[in-house]
Amino acid sequence: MTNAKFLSVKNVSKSYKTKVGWNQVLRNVSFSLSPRDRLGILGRNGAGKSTLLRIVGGAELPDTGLIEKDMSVSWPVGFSGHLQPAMSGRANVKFCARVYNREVDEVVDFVSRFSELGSYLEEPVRTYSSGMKARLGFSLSMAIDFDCLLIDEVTAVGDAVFRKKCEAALLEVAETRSFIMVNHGLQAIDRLCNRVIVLGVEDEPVLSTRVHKTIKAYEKALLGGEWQRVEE
Amino acid sequence: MFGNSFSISSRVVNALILRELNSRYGNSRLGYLWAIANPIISIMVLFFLFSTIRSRETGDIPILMFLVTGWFSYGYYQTMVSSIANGEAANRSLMMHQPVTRLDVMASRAVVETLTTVSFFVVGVAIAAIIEDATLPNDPILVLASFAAAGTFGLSLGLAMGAILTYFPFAMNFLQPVNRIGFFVSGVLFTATMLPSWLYPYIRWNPMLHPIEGIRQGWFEVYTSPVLDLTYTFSIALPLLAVGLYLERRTRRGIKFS
Repeated sequence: MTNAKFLSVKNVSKSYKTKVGWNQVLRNVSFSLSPRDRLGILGRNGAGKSTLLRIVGGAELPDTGLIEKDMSVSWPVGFSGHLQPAMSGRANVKFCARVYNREVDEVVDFVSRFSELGSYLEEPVRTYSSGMKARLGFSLSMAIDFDCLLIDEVTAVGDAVFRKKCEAALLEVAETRSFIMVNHGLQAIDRLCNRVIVLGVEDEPVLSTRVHKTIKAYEKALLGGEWQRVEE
Repeated sequence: MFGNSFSISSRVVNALILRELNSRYGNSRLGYLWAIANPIISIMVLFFLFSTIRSRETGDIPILMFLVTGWFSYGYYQTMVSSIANGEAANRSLMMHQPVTRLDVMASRAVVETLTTVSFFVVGVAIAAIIEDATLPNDPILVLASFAAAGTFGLSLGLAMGAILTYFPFAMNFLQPVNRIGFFVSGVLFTATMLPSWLYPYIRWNPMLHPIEGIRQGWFEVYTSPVLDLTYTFSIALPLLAVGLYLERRTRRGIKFS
């Protein structure tokens, strides 16, 4: 157990103030990941999936609870958010490489190869379509080798070819690294993840390693059926 | 531990400075030209008004250099305040990256504002030297100290404002009118000696008056300010800086891990 990297989330809760009072989006979320664990987050819009990613990524503080980790964790890789719209794709990539102390040229090379954005890389990010932003963001997160990737829907957009490429890349990194993904394409979670957490179906989040069965039960609940917890 | 986080911070600040310069001036050479042309044009208009309408109220002080020193010391404070206070809103997307803290963003902005002001000031001095026979500073140390006082006060106020903005986003609406009034009462367009002496006890309270009086006294051999007290500005700025840093800690939204 010399190199036992870990990430653990303990009893994390988070509320937001809304016009009609406090809205608790996360209640007592706990899980832990070791390298090679791939966690899928299930839940409807507003169930707190992206909030959880932001908290794990350190972009936001939980109200209560604790996050401990000695893994390097990426930013939440989404369509945008972390990209600077006024800067060119290339300038964004350079900035990230510098911030994470990576060789700038290597990162730029990797991203331009992987994203296949070609000359669009020189254009400001604000001119990008959401698919292109996703390609840039995802390629960038792959270029900077984090121990744990946080993936917020990016693999769900873009064309089929790029989606396939993303999945292949994720399968490859899953050999050594871990990731947490939010995805409305449940099949992708089914194929890629070895555990899931379901938000919003019970009072407290449901954690399971029976990925396929849990997804089926969740799909059934989404379509108006009764939610039935999958026994471990 | 401290050494490590310091090296991360300096790396991040470096990346932020490059990004800031690139996004401000990198897109077109015209951007830089316009940025410098803007204050120069304003100063030229004032120069024209002063030298025709007000006819030499500045005494032995050369008018253009008088305006350049006042304009850029107040400008240094003003851009510093708004740049630091707006730092978080303008860079929220960057703070998605864990190594990037709000303090890094503010430090990089302070550096960029300082570099910009100093280089613009040098251009202003050069133009003043060509148009009227401007002299070099009589007391460079006092000039530097005055500049530092203006910048430190701007930085401190900006930091405190930034923290207040997280609770009261509308607070920004107060800053602009205050700064505009400040432009007229801090001595950009006058020296204390032009005012009746019974006003001195009142204008002394303005922390931005002293840096401008200071730079004038430091630059022009012929000018000695009747009110100058730079330590007053620092004695407001430094406690404000401490309060600003404390509030910044208190209002931090992200968490940073070891």
